[in-house]
Amino acid sequence: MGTGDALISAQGLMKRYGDSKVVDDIHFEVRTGEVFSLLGPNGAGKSTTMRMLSGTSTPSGGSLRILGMNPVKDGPAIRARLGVVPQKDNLDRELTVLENLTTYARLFGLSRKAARERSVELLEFVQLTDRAKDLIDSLSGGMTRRLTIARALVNKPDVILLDEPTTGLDPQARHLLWDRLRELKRNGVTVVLTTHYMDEAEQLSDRITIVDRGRIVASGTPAQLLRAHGTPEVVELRHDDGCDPSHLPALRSLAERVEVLGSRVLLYVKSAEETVAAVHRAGLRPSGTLERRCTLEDVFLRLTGRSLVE
Amino acid sequence: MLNGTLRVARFHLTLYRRTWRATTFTSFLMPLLYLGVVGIGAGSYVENDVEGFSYVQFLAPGLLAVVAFQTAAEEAGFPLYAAIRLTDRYQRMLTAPLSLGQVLAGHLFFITIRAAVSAAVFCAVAALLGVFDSWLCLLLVPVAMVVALAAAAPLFAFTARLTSSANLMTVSRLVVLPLSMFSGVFFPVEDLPAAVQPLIRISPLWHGVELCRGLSGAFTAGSGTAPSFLAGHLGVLLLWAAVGFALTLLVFRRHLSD
Repeated sequence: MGTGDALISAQGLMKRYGDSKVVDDIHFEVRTGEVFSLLGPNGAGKSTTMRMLSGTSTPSGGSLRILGMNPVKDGPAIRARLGVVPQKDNLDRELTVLENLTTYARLFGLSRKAARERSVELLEFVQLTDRAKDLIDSLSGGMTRRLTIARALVNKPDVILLDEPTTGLDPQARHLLWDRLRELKRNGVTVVLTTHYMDEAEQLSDRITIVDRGRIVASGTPAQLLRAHGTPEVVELRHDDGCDPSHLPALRSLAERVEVLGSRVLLYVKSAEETVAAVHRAGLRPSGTLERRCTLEDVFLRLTGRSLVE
Repeated sequence: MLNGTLRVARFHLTLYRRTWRATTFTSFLMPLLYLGVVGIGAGSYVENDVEGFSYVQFLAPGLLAVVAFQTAAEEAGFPLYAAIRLTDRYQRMLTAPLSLGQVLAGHLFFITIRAAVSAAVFCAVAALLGVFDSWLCLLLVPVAMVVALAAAAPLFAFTARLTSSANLMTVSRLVVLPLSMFSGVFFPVEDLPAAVQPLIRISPLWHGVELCRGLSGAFTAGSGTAPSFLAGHLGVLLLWAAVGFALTLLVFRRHLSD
């Protein structure tokens, strides 16, 4: 797919603060109507990239096009068609739930009547209609987050940027939020999201780019990433007394890759069942074993190198 | 540009409707208290005219300028700091289709409106009390707006650079309070030590005080004001506003769009 089809296109994108490169030569494209995720550990440069997309942070180098415009020059014009959900909820605590939406809508130039109609509609969408007259402080974390997302939709954006939308939410709140994001996608909104939850990325994304320390370490669909960087299955060996390092050579011969995560040893294999049998045949006696399929989280941990990679 | 600026000002006004009660003391009551206690009370012991005015008539136009000055200083202090550093209100406005210039201009415009309201209330009460002879004193309200702009714009640049709110008190203690006392509001600047006078003559408040007093003399005694007098003082005030605006925009670029 060529650049012509890309709603967002970043080439060689850089952001430096003094000597530190927060974003270092990142390139990606986001196509119309897809959910694109930027994954990475804290400090990987995700939020900075998002801020450059909305034109509130100026790139130090590279090129960035969004909706056919340049965010440095056309920030306001881009933001007219953009919804932004920042990492930190920044709702107005002086105002009610409904007023938070109407005042923000008015900043986009909506008339009083249009702002009100749109806000009522959005409260319905995020299931907060019965809280319209309440103050922000009375809302739960999940409600606050949903309201922030509703706020980002006042201008019926073509693209919505969500920076860690579900951090700190309980499972119920996360699932409700994911459901709303899928609904947005169905309505043709392009979604760009950052997260460090792998299940979230796997649930929602059409394509993923994994960044670490400002650089891209892998890109692709969730399935592609799993194929390229994972194995079909994983065996976890639990050792209550800690793992005996002398067993590692034997384990290595049984798996494509071995990772030691504290008291757990992860074996990346084709067939978990066969491997467990082989482990027992070799006379190794872990306190427990778990057979599971390989997940994005495994891929992520491997690529971002936060564990002891063997 | 204008449309976005007005939207930002309207946004601030909407929020102010929720919080204005907290500002009634500094905006409305304190200046009137000064007018009553110092102007009418203590002033009754001042036998000589000051620059051709009775003491309270000398004081009132100066206090009017102080109202605008302090309203501006108040808004340019903690509320601005909080909007940038604590509540991210600025960052939020900047996710709307607005430029930094519009966000800044809109906020300053809101402050001049606040100053205008405070000044109008002050003028009305002063006129009712007979301190101002004529309702023409309401023509001083636009001057108060310019004073507010000239004070707020440079203070914005200072506040926008702060990374801790502790230094906000420094400004109010070392800049706002001394200027309010020594900018010719309570007594002519000529009575200050010669070394201090040039410093005071730089301050936007002094120019505001001079303008208000000159104009109020013109309204009440029909003494007239020279165009050069008006142009000189207004010029300095607008210069403060322009330099402050440019500096603030520079600081905003560094802190808000980096």
